[in-house]
Amino acid sequence: MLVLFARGVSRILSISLLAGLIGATFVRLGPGFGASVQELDPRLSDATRAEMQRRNGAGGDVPRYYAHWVASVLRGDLGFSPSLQRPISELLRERAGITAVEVAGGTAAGVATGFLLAVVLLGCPRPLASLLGGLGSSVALSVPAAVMALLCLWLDVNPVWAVAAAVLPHAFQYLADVLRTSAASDHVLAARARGVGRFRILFLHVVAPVLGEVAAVSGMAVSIAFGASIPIEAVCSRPGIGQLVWQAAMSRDLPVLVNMTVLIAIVTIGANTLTDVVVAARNPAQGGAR
Amino acid sequence: MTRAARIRATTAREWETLGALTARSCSWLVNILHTRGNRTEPRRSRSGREWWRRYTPPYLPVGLLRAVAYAVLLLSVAASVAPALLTRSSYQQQYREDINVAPCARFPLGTDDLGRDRLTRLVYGARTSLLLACAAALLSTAIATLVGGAAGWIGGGLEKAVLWGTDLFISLPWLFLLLTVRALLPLDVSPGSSLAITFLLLGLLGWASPARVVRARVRSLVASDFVLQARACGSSGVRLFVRQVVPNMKPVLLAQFFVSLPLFVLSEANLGVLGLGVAEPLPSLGSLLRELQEYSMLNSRPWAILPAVVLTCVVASLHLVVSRSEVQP
Repeated sequence: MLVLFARGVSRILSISLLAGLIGATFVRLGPGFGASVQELDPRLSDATRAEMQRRNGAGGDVPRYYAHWVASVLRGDLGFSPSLQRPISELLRERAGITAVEVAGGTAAGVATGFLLAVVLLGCPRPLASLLGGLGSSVALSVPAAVMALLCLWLDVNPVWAVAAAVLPHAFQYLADVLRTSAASDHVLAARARGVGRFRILFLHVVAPVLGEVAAVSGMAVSIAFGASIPIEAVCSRPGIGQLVWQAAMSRDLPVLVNMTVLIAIVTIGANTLTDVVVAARNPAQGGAR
Repeated sequence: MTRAARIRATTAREWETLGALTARSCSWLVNILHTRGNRTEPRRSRSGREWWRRYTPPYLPVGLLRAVAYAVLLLSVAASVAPALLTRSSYQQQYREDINVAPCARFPLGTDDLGRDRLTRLVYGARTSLLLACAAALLSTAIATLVGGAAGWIGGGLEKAVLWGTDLFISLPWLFLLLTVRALLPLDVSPGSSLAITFLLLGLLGWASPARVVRARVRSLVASDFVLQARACGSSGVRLFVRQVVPNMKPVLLAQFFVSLPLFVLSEANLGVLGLGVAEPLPSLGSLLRELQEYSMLNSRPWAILPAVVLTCVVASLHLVVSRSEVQP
């Protein structure tokens, strides 16, 4: 388990540095890097304009820009947001709580509801379950997160439910498959042959063995929830990280976007690593095998 | 690979068989009317009850559902190929004397706040979104074939690097990646350029999951008996790849193409709602949804929600048609 944890941490570190490098490269090579709207002001002299260009283009080429970014991370302020005129670390501190509640709540609600639905449909006849599950998850997968957010606003419901609705079909589809496989396994057949009660079979022999998979799906769902939180927060005007990403994209606030790329990579990979550790702790044989 | 990545890989592997299944589903109507099961078996006369037992549950509800999905897709394709069949006006024509008109004989879905016919914009918007998604799916499948095929065929360090790269791509939320890369490009562009940017964005960023599937398929093909036999017969290199491996990848590539379609339609919609998709006055299903941000107007003009309904129907139909559970009830 410790090895798994250490591997996860090293993976987070390496992917963060790589994501930062990729982000810095894209930013540096993106068209219009170093230009700002203020330069178009006709009252400015050529010298002022040149100074502004020098300051906006600080960092020079890609390696220097990357080094500049790493230094800002080590300093702890993560750089400065040109559009919001504040240190990025401050912006993150203010907004992280709202998004964390949304993502955690939405993931938990979506996975729990998906799991419950999958268990309920397991008891239905196969054609009916296939029909309801297929139709329901297809429709739920087909509604954009932004429309879910609009529905939440219209119906005056907490936007956490929009995040949950984005997670639900993914969790349901995977868990329904896993539960069906578990229900068709040999030990369940043996339990039936021995006359074990229906509910005992369901909870002890079908549902209990797949609880590790529920944890694994939760790790994957964090990424989906994070993705969904961007349009949801933008549409619902929630001052979270999703809204910050949207605002940064609309105003081409590239330093914020580089830091967000790294942060989101860390959170999603961290969630996956945590899931792996939890699953390994629950089932050491499986963890050891990996 | 993390557990979540493995789940994704497992799901991706499941999709591998979808190409063949999707091709099979095209002959569904023929099958249900003639024979099911062993086709070589001679046809026998059956009593009505046996026919009912054989062809209704579970086939009828699922079949009906799929028939509806096919009908929706057919209509969408018709709208994409020949929008003039469904509407006569242009998507940017403004009827200044008819602003925010309710549905009537002249404007079946009413007009928007610039006096443009909503039906016309919906038809052209569906065309933009579907054609864009098809083109982007083609591009991403082509890139996945190149990257995944090379990784699976060559193996070694290249394979590891590709797997690592796809891991990184998959670990970042798709919409976030789209937003970030879109923000790096100029925002104030012409409608045509915005269309091209959105298409390139979806196509160039959507290759990671398909590349993993393609790599797995190529690895399994490389280890298969017939490739071994072809090697033994003296075939090697590009010839072996083109003659033996590529034809056997067709089902997987077809499946990846179809699986990408609903994802790209949805992504375009999300980008459109956020104002980073196709620019006005060119309509797309996503840009039509922007109007819904003033959700209070839904109380007075509930028909404005129709683009969202159409989008959901089209994407759900795509999901149902390519879904394994629907192809194999």
